[in-house]
Amino acid sequence: MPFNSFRDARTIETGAELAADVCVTGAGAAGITIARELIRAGVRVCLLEAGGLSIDPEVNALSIIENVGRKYPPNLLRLRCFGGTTNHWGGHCVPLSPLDFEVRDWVEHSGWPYSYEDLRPFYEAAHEVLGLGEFNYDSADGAARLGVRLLPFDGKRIETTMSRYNPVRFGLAYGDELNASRNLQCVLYADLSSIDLSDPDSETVTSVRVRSVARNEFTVKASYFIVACGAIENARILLCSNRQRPAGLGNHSDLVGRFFMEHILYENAGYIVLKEPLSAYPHYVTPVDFEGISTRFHIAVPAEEQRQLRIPAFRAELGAISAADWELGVGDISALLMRPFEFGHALRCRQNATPDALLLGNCIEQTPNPESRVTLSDTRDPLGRPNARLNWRLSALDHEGVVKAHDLISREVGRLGIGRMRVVIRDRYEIELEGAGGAAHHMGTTRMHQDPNKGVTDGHGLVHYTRNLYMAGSSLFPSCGYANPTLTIVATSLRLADTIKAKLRRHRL
Amino acid sequence: VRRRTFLMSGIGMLGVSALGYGSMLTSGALQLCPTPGTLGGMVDTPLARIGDVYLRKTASQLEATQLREVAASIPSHLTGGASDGLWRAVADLAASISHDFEVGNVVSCDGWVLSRSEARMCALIALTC
Repeated sequence: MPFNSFRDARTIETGAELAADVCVTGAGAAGITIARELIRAGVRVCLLEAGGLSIDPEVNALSIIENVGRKYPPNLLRLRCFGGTTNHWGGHCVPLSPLDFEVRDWVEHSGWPYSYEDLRPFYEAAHEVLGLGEFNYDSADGAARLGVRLLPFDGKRIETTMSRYNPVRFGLAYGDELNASRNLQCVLYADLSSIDLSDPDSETVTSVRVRSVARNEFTVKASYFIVACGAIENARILLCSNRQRPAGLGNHSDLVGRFFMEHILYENAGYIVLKEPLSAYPHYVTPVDFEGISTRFHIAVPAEEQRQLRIPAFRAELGAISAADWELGVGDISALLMRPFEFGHALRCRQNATPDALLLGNCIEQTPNPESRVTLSDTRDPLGRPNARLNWRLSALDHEGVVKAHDLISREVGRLGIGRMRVVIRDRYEIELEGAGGAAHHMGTTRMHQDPNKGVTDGHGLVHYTRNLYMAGSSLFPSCGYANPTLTIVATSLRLADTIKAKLRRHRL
Repeated sequence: VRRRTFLMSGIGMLGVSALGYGSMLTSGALQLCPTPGTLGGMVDTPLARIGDVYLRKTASQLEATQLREVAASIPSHLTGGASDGLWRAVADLAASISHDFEVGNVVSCDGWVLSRSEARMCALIALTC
């Protein structure tokens, strides 16, 4: 084991008791971020990771779910290993927009317990964690500094957005730092099986029970507990912690596991034939180097237009397609646009057909839906715990957003003389969305809300009706915008780390 | 009066445009095509298909009839070649397309989101294939 201070849970004696100020479960983007912040502040941390340093099929099998909803990969692309899903993410970073934090009257259950401005300092700090350079997502500024042109959308109805990319593997990037820390105990192969209160009426968590695939069991005691295992596992852990509260911890309002959200990957619903050659806009199609950071431009529906149309957040990533891969109509329409006096020639000779068109690959906000949920299955994993049962559901509003956004883009493409767009979307959402997939962005199952009847956790991630149990990661998101979640996961984790540090300071005083 | 207005202001112009394209195809200016001569070769093209969809699903019965009348009148004018009037008509068509998009006068035909003027032009192509 290259990180020689890390322990292996499989070798820890049954009945053993570990102790720390803070027990963090899950060594992915959220858990490692929190652990780093705390150990730097001199806090004694026990970091539990269910997997090892690489994928172990026996361990990863503990992530199998029972799927009763939409089609989904059986392990949901989760990784039980040090570094979590950062071991295979694409590095796509962009913050949520200010509107994403607001209550939108057309999106039921929307609204975060704090604003974009509250999170902004943590976004900036998260940029450092993720090596993303300057916190600047101004696409016009980026384009000007890159010396490239943006597609001539007017910014009011359709805007160009800019994303940054850096697929930091948290285990590799920060393993040495954690390994060298004297106040961190990192335990691999440590699978949290339940969270225990001091007594059934208490709101104080005193310990967590940990098992490994070696079938041993031990406990970790701490003043604060943070669970950062992803939105599926976070919900499962709370629901499985049902010895003292039969419905599970935090589940007083039957909300744990509800509001499971994904970013809807919805492709092949439309393509744009540009008047100009596609070569004028390579920065939309592939990442370009921007001051040392990989950067790419996309198109999105701006906040004001979302309000007007009453739709969820919508972004389209543009991919280059060859007309040859599609029916000849692409080339014909293109020829009509580019050389109207020769279009007949193009039609008959097929010689003017351009190979360039932009395919919309969409990453769309799924609106919060209480029926989209994680529950416990009747089946059990090899450690005897109920598996998670997933019922991922989309709604009519999700489909409406897709339809209206495509309609808007196609009209703007024509109105502004950018080209023409073909949209292929069926009217019946339950049929149309059948082909939509997820981006492996699991969110929302322990959503934040100040009101315990509307959320599992408060605005800091504290599980309602507990004093010292926090959830971390994207399970906290009450709504998800279109932004890929890792940057926000890191930002909210930094915020949570600040909260814990402040509490510990007060406690020590 | 209604029919005359329609023909003069809208479809008439589109008819001239379609004529213009047709004239070019037959005038010898574009000799690259292996089998020029008529628009018949376009019968299976997407533009004709778009036009066919427009005629069947979007255009009113009256509009479809008028388009058919315009289309029927095209062959007798095909000998003129490109004229100043034709170029003006094409410019008018471009302005009409632009205006359609500005005011939201768009239609979806075979998935393509087009100005109504473009769709009508496609309809004429479909009718003259």
